Amino acid sequence: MKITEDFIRSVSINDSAMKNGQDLVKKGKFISLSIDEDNVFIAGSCQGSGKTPYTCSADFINEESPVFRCSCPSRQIPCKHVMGLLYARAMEKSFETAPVPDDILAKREKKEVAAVKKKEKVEKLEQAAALGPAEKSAAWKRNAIKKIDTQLTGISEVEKILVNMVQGGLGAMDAKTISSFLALVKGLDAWYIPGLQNEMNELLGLLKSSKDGNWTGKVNQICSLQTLVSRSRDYLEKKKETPEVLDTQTEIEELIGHAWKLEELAQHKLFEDNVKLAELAFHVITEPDKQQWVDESFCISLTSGRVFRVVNYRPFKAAKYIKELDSTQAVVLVPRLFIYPAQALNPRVRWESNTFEDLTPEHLKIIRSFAMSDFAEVLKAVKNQLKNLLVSRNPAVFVKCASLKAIEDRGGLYEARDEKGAAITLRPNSYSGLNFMHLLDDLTIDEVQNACLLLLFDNNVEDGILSASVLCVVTDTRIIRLV
Amino acid sequence: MGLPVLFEIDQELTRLFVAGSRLSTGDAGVRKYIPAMEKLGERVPVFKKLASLMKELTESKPEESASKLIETRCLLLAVISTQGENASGPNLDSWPQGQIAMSDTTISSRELAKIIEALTTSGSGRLEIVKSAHERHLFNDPRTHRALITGLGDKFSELSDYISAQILPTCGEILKPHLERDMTYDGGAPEAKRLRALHRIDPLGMVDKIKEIMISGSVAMKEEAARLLGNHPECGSFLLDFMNDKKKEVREAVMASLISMNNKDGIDKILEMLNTKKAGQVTNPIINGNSPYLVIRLIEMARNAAELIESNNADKSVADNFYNLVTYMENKNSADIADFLITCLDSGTVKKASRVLSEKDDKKQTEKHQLELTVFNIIHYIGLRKDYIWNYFLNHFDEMKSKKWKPDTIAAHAFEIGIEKLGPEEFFDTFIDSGIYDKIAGITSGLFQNTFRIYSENPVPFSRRFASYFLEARRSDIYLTLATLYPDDKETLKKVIKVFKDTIKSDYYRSYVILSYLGRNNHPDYKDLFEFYKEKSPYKYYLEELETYLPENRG
Repeated sequence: MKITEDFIRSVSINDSAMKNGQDLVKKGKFISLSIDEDNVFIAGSCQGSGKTPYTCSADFINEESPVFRCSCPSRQIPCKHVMGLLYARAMEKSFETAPVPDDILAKREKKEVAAVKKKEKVEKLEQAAALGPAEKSAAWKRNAIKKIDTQLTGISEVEKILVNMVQGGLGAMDAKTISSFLALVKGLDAWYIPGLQNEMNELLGLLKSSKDGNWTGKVNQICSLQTLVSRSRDYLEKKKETPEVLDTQTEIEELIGHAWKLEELAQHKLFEDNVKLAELAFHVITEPDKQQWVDESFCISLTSGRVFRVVNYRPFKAAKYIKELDSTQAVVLVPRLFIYPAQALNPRVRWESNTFEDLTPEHLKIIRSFAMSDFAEVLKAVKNQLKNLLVSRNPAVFVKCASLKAIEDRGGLYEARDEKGAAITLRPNSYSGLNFMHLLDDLTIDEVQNACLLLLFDNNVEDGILSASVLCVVTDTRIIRLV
Repeated sequence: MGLPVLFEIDQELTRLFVAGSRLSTGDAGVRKYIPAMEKLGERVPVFKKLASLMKELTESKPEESASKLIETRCLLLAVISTQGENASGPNLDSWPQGQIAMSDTTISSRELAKIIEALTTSGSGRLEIVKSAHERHLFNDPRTHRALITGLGDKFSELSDYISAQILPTCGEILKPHLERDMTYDGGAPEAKRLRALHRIDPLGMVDKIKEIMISGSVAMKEEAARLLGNHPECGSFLLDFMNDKKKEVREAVMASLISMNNKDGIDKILEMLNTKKAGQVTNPIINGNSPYLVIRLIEMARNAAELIESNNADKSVADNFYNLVTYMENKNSADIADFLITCLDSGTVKKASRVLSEKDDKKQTEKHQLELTVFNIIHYIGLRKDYIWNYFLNHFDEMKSKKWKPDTIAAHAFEIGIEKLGPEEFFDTFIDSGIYDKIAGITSGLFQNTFRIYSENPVPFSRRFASYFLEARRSDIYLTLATLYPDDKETLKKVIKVFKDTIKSDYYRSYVILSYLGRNNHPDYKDLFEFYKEKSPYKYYLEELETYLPENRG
């Protein structure tokens, strides 16, 4: 088991944890370091601020999913002590040979038993999936309808709050008014509509924090909420006829507040097996209004050519405990890829386990074969999504250009055209965070010809231009990332 | 019809959201757009629907207005979202510009964000991040390049210098167009660094641009350009025209370059100015510069003055001139200079010149009495004529013991040479006991360390009496060296700590060096001394390192 800096970075929650771990080693805080004879279990005793040192360990018995443990009170996993232990190994500090402690052996056994149980559970679910959703009893249906009625009442309450806000005027909302609205929204707890409740909280947060006179975003949020209210109402009214059936085609369940479990996605066959994904772009978006960071990765399936999103939300307050995602250059092999219901062009996906393989020219050839070459169709699909106020305003599409030209260089303004002459304007947009579109100027002529680009669209209402930011360029030999 | 009207309607609706929907009834701002929308609606149904909603809005009762307003705005937003058009403009010629394929974009996103933040923001720890990234060759990734160029202008000069000297040259040709692109001729220090980086990447290719900058650049740019042209001897005659630039920095840079490229015309012109009112303009370049022709000319000029002095035909100005020429000979490391000066010493020229200088009532006489010592210094530091200095020392030893002469420089040189020749103990017996070393200040800690090669693999062993003698020698910076050699000597350590406390505000580097030594050697009072340093020292740069020596932080 070789521990490298890259490995440490891949398991660390964030850069602070890495640095803290390194510092522990540099300051000589580890009193003892040990490794078992099979070289799969390392442990250390690390001096903390208290009298008793902390005992930490890293168990690589299953190399694909190592287990980290520590006796410190930190909720962060792996904590800085484990990070330090890994660094000590990477820095080739001296480790004594020692057997695996009995308690760890016991825990390994427990884990094996749990893994077997999980496998049995998954198998059971697969069987259930083969049969489809289970038949529900009459009592269950009655309770479900009651819940829907409660939700509908909640939705009406949301609508009333919106109407009150708009009647009084957003400009007249002072801190006291916002607080009273927040209290009303808190009261929505009882109505089983956490999705709408979150959106309301976000709107009120926006009104509270932003005094810059920029009203468009706030008004847009109100319109989105009202659209959600109307759609939810229509959906739930219809659902009363068959309350056991979940909508698996659109985002509506999730927007109302349903949190899809992987088991449910399995039951409803919302998955693909043995999928190879190649990441085309990765960025981190800061959403100050929602008080969160979002790690977002755009991956293309080498089977279907669909461009999926992998999303990780990290609220500011809990960021310390949630692992940051990072970009990857490798192709990800996913035994089972779960796909969340969506109308949007880029559904969210998730998986439980994966392996990697190196990206090869063969992979690139496959990826490029999926690029859309008819820009009229691309724009039609994009505008279709933009019409729907409930889904992402920034769809990503993978396209192939017949020509790519600069109108203003250095990341200013470019134009891509297809073979029929249809054009797409390319320019950076603020959604994509760090952007390096100016590197388009440094492409060689060979790279520009027949370039395949991942585009992230944005409709700017103020200047009336529908444009796209280029997130990456895929050539025959490599992926050039521009974010 | 394009988007502008829809955007105008949107602005009106937003106004009502802000002011309150109750004001929608009869609102003129919305009403004025209804006819236009109805007209459009004849061809496009959605505009007809929009017109209808706008009409209902302006005719609504206050209690219905909010839902009407929201409904209207939702439809408008859905329409606007699909109305986006392409931007237009003529395509740029000569695009794309990549001549060679750029490097791969392989850094992970988190690492990239960290590097860019280090290069484009302020705060501590950034240099470490940048150095670590450079050691791992992360700056091959072209996404880092723009931030690197931004870093050239960083206020923290260590960082910008590191980027300029270490990183940019390794990025290669691919960075050249980026560096050139935004460079302005009228920039300041950051632009000058950019120019320097460009020159490192493509020295010959940049010559023409550098010449342009000499003609029309800012002072900082011209100064850098002049300095860079010093690497191009073929540009000597071009540079000559700038010897009389209005700005001192530019003039000095031009002269320094002419000297370094051994340009004879330039050097002649510079030396000619020594006899004019412009002498002050050329002294720095001559003192700091070094080239074979400069040495030849300096010796020639000094020889002429020496001949006049020897023939007793010298007045003050000749003696002054001789003295100045001798000082210009410092830092030239030339055996010819050493030999010339030895000739002047042996022939008595130096003594005669000193006498002429000291006869005059001039406040600067004190310096010029040091002419002989200056000559010795030059000979000694050239390092090629040690025997001459040693013999001189021996021949004048009795004279030095007298109280008339303060033999700082010669005795210090002799200390180093004598210990090498005789060995420490014989030297001590013969010369230290004489007492001349009691009164000189020339035995510095540096000289002591160099003479005994204290920190090398082959130190020169010496007896404890050296330490005892020099502890009383009133050079406080020698204490630390002795403390290193005799760590158990309490007296030495006490004196070291006293020096630490006395210099904590005036000499932060010395106090750091001493405290670091005490920490590394587990001095029992280290914690208190560290707290003292933390409180009293105005300079906190070393705190993090010094903290690691505290007992609780030691492994």
